[in-house]
Amino acid sequence: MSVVSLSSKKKKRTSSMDDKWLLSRCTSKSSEEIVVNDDDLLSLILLRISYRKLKCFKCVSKRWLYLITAPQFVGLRCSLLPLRAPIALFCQPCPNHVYFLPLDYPHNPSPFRTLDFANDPFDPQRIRILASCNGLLLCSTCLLALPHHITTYVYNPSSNQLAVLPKYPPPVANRVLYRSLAFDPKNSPHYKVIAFITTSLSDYTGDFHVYSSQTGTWTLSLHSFFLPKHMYLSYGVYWRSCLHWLGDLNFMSYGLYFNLDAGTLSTFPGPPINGKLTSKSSYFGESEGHLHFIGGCLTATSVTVYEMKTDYSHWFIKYSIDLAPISKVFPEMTKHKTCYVDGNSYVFAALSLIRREIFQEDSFLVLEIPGKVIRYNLVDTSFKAIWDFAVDFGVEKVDIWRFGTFRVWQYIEVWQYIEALLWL
Amino acid sequence: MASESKMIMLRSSNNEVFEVEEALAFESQTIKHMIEHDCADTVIPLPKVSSNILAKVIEYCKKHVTSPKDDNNELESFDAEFVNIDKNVLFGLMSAANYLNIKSFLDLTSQALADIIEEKC
Repeated sequence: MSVVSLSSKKKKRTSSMDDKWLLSRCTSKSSEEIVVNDDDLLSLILLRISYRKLKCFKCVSKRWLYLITAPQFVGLRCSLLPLRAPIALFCQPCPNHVYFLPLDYPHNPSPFRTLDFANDPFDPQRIRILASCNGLLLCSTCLLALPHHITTYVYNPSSNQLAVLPKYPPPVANRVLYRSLAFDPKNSPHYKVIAFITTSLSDYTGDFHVYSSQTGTWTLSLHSFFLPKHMYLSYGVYWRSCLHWLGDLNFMSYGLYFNLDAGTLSTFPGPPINGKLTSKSSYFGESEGHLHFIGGCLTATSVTVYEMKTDYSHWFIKYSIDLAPISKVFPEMTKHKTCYVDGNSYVFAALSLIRREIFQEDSFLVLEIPGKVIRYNLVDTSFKAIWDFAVDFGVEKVDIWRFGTFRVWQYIEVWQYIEALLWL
Repeated sequence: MASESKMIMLRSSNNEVFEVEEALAFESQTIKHMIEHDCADTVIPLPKVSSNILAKVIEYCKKHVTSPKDDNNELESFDAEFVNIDKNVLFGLMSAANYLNIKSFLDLTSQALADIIEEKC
C-alpha cells in the first residue's frame, strides 16, 4: 500500500506498475458496461441526445425503447432542452396559403408544405390557423359550421405531425366561439386547448372547456361565464401559465386572463392608449417571458411598447421608437391612401416584438409598412427591410396595400418537442 | 496562519490511498455522508473506484473548490479540456461520479458522452 499526497504529482513507478496498468485497463473497459447496463446512468446520457438521434435509438432494444418512452424520462428532457428563439414569422392570408418570413436568414426554407392535412367534410380548402404557441399551431376547420362539425387540430409544422382533438363533450354546445392554445415546452411536453362555448341563445354566456393532451379528454373548467360586450377571446396570449385576452380597448379598460391549473378567470388592467386604436395595427404578445402591447393609433408619430409588470399592477413603457427616421428611408409610410383618408401621419402595423436577451442578441420589433416588412433593432435603432411583398410574393399596387389583413405568428423550430404529439 | 483543514484519506479499489482536504472530499455527497454519520474510520474505502479514475476525480474537485466562484469562463474551459479524453476513461469517470454522488461532475461526464454518441452515430 502506498500513500499518495497531492503535493507530489508523480506516482512512484514500481514493478507492480504492470499489474496496475492491467487492472486499470480492465476497470475502464467494464466501466462502459457498468454505465450502459445501468438504467439510471444510461438515461442520464440519453437525456442529452438530440431527438433526431433518439428516434433511432428506440430501435436498439426493448430496454432502450422502454427507457426512452418512460414518462419520467420525457418530463426530464423538457427541463433540459435548449431554448429556441423564434426564427421566423408566418401568416395565413388565405385558407390554403402560408407566408413564411424568416427573420435572420432570408433563405431559411419554409417548413410549411400545404395545409390540406385535414379532411374538412364541408370544405377541405378552409383549414384555418387560429393560434400559435411556442411553435405548435392550433388549427380549425370551417368556423361557420355547427359545433359538432368543427374539428380542432394541433399541428407541429417542424415535423409535419398532426393531432386531431376529440369533439367537445355533450351537451351539444350552442356555438364554439373561441379557442386558444397553451404550450410551454420548458415545463411540460403536454399542451392544453381552451374553448369558450356559449350555452345561451340570447347572450354570450358560456362555459370554458379545457382539453389536455396528457389525458386526451375535455374537462369543463368554468361554468356559466357571461362574456361582456367588446370583450373578445380570440388571439389569447400565453404568459406565466395563463391565457390572456384584450378586447376592444376603445371600450374596455381591462383584459381577462385564465389560470389553466386553477380554472379561474381574473382581470388585469388594460394598457394605456392615446387616441383611437385600430385593433388591426395593435400588437399584443409574449416574448421571453415578457408581455408586450403596442397600440396602433391613427395619429401616432412614434411607437410605444408597453410591458406588463409580473404582478399585474401596471404597464410600463419599455421602448419608444421614433418613426420619422424610418419614414425618411421608406417614404411609402406617408404616401399611403390611409394617410389622406384616416388622417394617419405614418402608416404602419406592429407585427411582432422579439426579445433576444436570453440569447445575448439585440431585441427587435417587426413592423409592417405598405408593401414591406421592417426589422427594427431596439438596441441600436438601426433598421432594414427584411421582406418586400412586391418582390417576394408578387403583390402589386402597394399604395392601396390593405393593412391588418395578416395575422402573424412566431415560428419556433419544435422538432425536439414532438413528444407533445407523440404521447397521445 | 497555518492551514488547519482536516485531511481525509481515500482508498481506491487497488489499495492506493489518497490524502485530500476535507472541503475537497465533501464535493462527494457519498463521502460527506459517510463522514458526517461516522460510517468510516480513518481511511474511507472506495472499492468501486480505481486509482487512475480517483486521481482524476480529485483533480476535478480540487479545481472546482479552489477556483473563485465568479470565474465561469475559466471553469468552463477547464471542464471542456478535462472531458476531452478517451471514451473508456470517460465512462469510468461517469460511473465514479455517480457512485461518489458529485452532481456537477455527473452532468459534465454524461453530457460529454452524449456529445460523443451524437457525433459518432
